[in-house]
Amino acid sequence: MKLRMITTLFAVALGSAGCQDDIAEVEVVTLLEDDQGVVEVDAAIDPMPTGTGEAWVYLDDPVTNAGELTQVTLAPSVFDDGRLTSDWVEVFNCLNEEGGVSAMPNFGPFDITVFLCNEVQSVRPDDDGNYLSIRPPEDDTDPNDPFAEVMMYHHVNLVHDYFKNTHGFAELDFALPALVNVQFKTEPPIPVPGVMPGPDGWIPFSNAAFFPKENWQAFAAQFGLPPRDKDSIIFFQGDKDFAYDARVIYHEYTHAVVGTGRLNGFPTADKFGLSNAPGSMNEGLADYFAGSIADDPVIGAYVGVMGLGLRDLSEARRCPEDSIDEIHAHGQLIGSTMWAVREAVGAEIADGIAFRALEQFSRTTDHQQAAELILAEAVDISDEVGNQVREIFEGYGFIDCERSRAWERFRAAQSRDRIPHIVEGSQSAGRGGLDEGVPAYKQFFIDVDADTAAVQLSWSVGTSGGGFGGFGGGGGEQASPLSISVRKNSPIEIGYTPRMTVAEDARYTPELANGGQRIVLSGDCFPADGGRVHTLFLNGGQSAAQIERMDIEVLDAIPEDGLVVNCSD
Amino acid sequence: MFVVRLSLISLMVCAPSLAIGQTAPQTRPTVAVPGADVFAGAVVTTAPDGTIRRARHAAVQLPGADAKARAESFVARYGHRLGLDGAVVESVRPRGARTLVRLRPTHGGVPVLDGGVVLTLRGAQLIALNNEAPRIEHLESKKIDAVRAREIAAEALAAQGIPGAAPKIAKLGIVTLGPVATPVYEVDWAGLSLDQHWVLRIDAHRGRLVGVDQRGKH
Repeated sequence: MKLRMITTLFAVALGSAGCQDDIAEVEVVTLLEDDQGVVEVDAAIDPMPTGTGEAWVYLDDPVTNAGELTQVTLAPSVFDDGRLTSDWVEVFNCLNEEGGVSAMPNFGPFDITVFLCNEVQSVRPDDDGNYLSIRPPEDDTDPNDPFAEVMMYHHVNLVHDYFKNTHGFAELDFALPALVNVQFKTEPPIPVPGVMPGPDGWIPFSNAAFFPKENWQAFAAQFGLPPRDKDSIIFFQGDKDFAYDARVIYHEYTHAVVGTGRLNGFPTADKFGLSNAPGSMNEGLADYFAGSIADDPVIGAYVGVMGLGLRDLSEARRCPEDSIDEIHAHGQLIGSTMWAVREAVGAEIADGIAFRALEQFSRTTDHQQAAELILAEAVDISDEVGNQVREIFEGYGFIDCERSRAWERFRAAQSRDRIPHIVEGSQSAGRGGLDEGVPAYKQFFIDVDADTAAVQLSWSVGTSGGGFGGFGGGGGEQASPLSISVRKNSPIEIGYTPRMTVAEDARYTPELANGGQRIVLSGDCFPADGGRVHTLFLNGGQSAAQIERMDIEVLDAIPEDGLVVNCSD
Repeated sequence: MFVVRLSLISLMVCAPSLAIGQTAPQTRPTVAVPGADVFAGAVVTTAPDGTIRRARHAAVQLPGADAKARAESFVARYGHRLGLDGAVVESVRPRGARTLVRLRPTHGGVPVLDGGVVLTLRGAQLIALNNEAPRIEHLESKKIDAVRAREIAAEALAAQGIPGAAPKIAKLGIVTLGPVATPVYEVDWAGLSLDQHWVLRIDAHRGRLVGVDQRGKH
């Protein structure tokens, strides 16, 4: 039952009636009413404050705003006490204290209790009805600070209004639960790789996430807790407070807009290999809309993003040369492409065509399909806009991309995104039937001259835990040697008709020694008059392989040692 | 794929056969179909096998009291032209004068986890569609049940250092690799920290783990 205050009826003077000086105490009586009429008389609440809900926030984040706060008017609370619940968000501060939900999950021989922080709406207005006393704490790692609540409240209301008013999006027209300062602890403390409890036992995380109700369902089933029937966004407290970065809030909210029915799930497979396009576009569009709302292409200036540093959508990312096997990094392809469109046709048109196309996406829409849908929306506006968008798409390789990039010297740690190449294994590809081995996400080509004698290729191979990255274990699987498929003039082509086929000239599996593999291509591996040779890694092992290092060397003569092949054996 | 503009008055033109993965030509050949095709006047993109992948500027009148009923009537009448074995309405989203209806394809009554279909309606008319439902020619047999799928998931979790795990939720679906469809169970597992929600995909034909996906979006 939702009650609303209808009036303050009267004040009762205790003491000598009519004598102001004699009033010892004033009792304010308020009627609370529901749909059926007056049901309750409440007593002894404070008089309504006169403020208008003014508060301090970072318009963007502490870095972009150079620490400067801006005074804004918060959306009105739906509660008389001014807690931070509007029609579109209810913000909870997850305090590091007892009182949160706890569970004793079955961890076999371990007898542990998991405690979540205590979800509380801690913020109330000052006596004047404003929230101006709430400012950032001296230490950003404060696990209980109310400023995070205020930031979340303001920016979720703002991003909700953007999607509703600009695009007519109404599916999140409810008070979306948003948690800030989230941490948890276990008793006894358990070793979780990469997780270090603080002195008080609470475990900090540097992250933020969209948490759909399906996640709650799984979480509740796992830990014997009551499920929740709403999506949520959850902001953790680690070395930074993620709620201080408005664009991260917009990014996560956009994930909520996209929902679980689109761009969500396992990699897909096409003729070039596996594809992470759906997941990467989910990330890239979350970045794009966050940047567009902020009118600034930089995402994560304060928190960095996923430990990868900020993402700047004004820096062009093209296919195939910027094809990355991690979805946030690869999302910069659509993110930067759409940012270029925005620069060309303006935010209103660019946002509109992106959103209307997104509405038609499926769970596994790929870049080509996305490009065609966005382009169709652009053409519907005018041929001129359509031509502008097509030109940008072609320039960025967002349409008609042949996913094979140059084989170059590569060191993951020194690369633009600091991310290794990934070749999924049979336990991480998401689908069986890849009987020839799991193909990589992209191919690598080599351009050779007519008189090239030999080309030596080498690469490192490590394991990344068989798809359980961050699972709390890490796998422990031994890395398997990768096979390398070779084809001159055309990319290797994967088919499924109905069994997996690989159109190639030859395939080899060099010995895996000291964490690396090496092969020397010669002879018929190369076009007779010189030209392009495409290569593709295939993984026959269970675990995903990580390639941290790649090298290429053009040789004057065919060496006598090592695996030397000529593709005609 | 190729794009055609269907109109009532013109001649049938055989479209060139393109391999899967080839992309639409820059210009849209205007061709026609004989008779009064329901998509007459629409800009239609088809796959090499003739199934409709995309339609815009259509005006297909649909019976039904509301958007959901109209979408269901569309599937019943024209689903074969999209290559659908079946589909269920996943969501209905009003957008001003338009309504977007998201369909989850099914095969033999089991939801197909890849792709999807989105219909755009204006009142009682279908005005656009995007069909990314996979073309299924062969369905592999299901050789394990949900109980065994959860056991396989638990074994995989144990191998990751999480002994005693007993996943509770396993959902049956179909995934595709080219024209081959494979039944899978998707088994949910939540991590200790709130941001982690894994889905372990168990191939119900091969009886083994084929993937782990982090469903929490960061």
